[in-house]
Amino acid sequence: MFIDLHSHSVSSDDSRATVEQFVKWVGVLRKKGFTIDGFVLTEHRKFDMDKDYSSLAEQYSVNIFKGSELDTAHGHFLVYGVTEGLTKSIDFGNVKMDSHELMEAAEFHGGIAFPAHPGRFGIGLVEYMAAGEDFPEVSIVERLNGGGRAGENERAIELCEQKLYLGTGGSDAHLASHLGACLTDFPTDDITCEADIVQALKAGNFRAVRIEETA
Amino acid sequence: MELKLEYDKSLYGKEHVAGPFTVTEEMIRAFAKATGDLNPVYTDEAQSKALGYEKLVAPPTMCTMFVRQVKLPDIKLNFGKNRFHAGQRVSVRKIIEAGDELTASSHLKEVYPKTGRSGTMVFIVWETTFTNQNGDVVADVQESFATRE
Amino acid sequence: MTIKYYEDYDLGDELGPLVIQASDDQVVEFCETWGNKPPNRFTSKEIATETGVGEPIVPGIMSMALVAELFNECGGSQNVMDIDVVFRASVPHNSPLYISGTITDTREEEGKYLLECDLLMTDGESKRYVIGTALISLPSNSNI
Repeated sequence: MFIDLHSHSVSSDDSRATVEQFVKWVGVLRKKGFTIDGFVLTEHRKFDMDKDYSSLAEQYSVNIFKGSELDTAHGHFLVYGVTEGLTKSIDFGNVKMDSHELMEAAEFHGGIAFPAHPGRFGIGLVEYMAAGEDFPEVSIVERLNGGGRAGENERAIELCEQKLYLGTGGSDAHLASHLGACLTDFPTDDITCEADIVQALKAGNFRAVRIEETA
Repeated sequence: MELKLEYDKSLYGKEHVAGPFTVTEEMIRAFAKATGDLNPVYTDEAQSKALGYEKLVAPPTMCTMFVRQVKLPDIKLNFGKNRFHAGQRVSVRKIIEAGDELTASSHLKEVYPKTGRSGTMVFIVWETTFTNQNGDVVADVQESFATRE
Repeated sequence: MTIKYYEDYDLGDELGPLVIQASDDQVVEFCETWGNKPPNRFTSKEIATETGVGEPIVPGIMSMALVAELFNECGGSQNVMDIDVVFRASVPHNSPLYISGTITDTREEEGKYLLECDLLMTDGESKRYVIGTALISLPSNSNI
């Protein structure tokens, strides 16, 4: 399954895409011959516990999952398998939260948290590692990010190769037409909920791809 | 290490009014010229009329020039020094034409922190409603400004 | 300007790129019209450096107007009903600015024929200066 693990709807302050526009865009991509089975709404600094996209997902035959992208003292982290317990133990709005505490709390609550766009200048994990911070808990990072500037994905790929990190792919779409630019390829047909994504990520059998590789 | 934001929350709910501002033909033509917009509805009254308008039409984003005429108060934010324009939205309710007299009414919408390539930032969002001489709302403008550490 | 109809566009259609530049003179002229008298941080390197911008940049409200010009290829920017942009990076003077759009939705609503469009202003490569969306209203050829 090809899933875009990183996208933002208008629920995020800097996105201008509605979820309905995203699902319509999936139709455009499919018409062009690309494959996209679903996407995760990783809203900034929040988790939309009460939002239910199941009828939209059914109408357009696309999986819509929910996650978060949280600001930490060590850059942005993608979080999957968010539970009520996790939202109570971590202040999602705290832009200076400790990333180590976040990763530990996500694991404790049955989810997973790992660095988004680690090669991003000024805010990626690479910068904090260069400053001497150690991240022994990290084994996965976002390898391909659709919002990366020149050189940023290259830095992420180099990091993956140096540290033998597994890498995901996500568009980081803030506009409908950017959805699906990068995706994660899971060799299974059984991902139907957020818990399945967590399980598939923890199993470690996936790879980051660009949309062109799905045709 | 949590970021504790302090600012004047009493500003929520207060309107700051300015105007009226007269939209002149000269202003419309100057705006179109400075932005290199060759659309004749902004520069040629005959062509504008041919398309069904009564006068020269103002470009849809032109009202944003008047937002800065509203004297917005200092929100007394305890964060950052440098402020930059982070985003803007214009919702057009009615076409603005030469001769219109616009009044602006602005209020503080929200203040929130986030991080990005340039470090930690705090966003300040203001909303302005423009009303014309007939009392019709012609545009809503939302502007966000970010302050950096 | 050519009249364009709602039916001329489909989901996924691309607009542009419109490649333009904002010259020093244009920015000065814009600031004068705006009432923000030059020299200021948009026109003077010295003031830009003092205020932490580095180089004089194109004002946000001018960048938004430049982006809206993309719609002159589909009947005129006066058809814009809503435009919503995020300034992702400072827009420089005298550099090519690539403005493009993608139609992400088409719909009829309360008798209006509407197109939703994603907007992008870049340096022609991977640097995004402005991203956003617009809603434009076009005539329908079913009404002719």
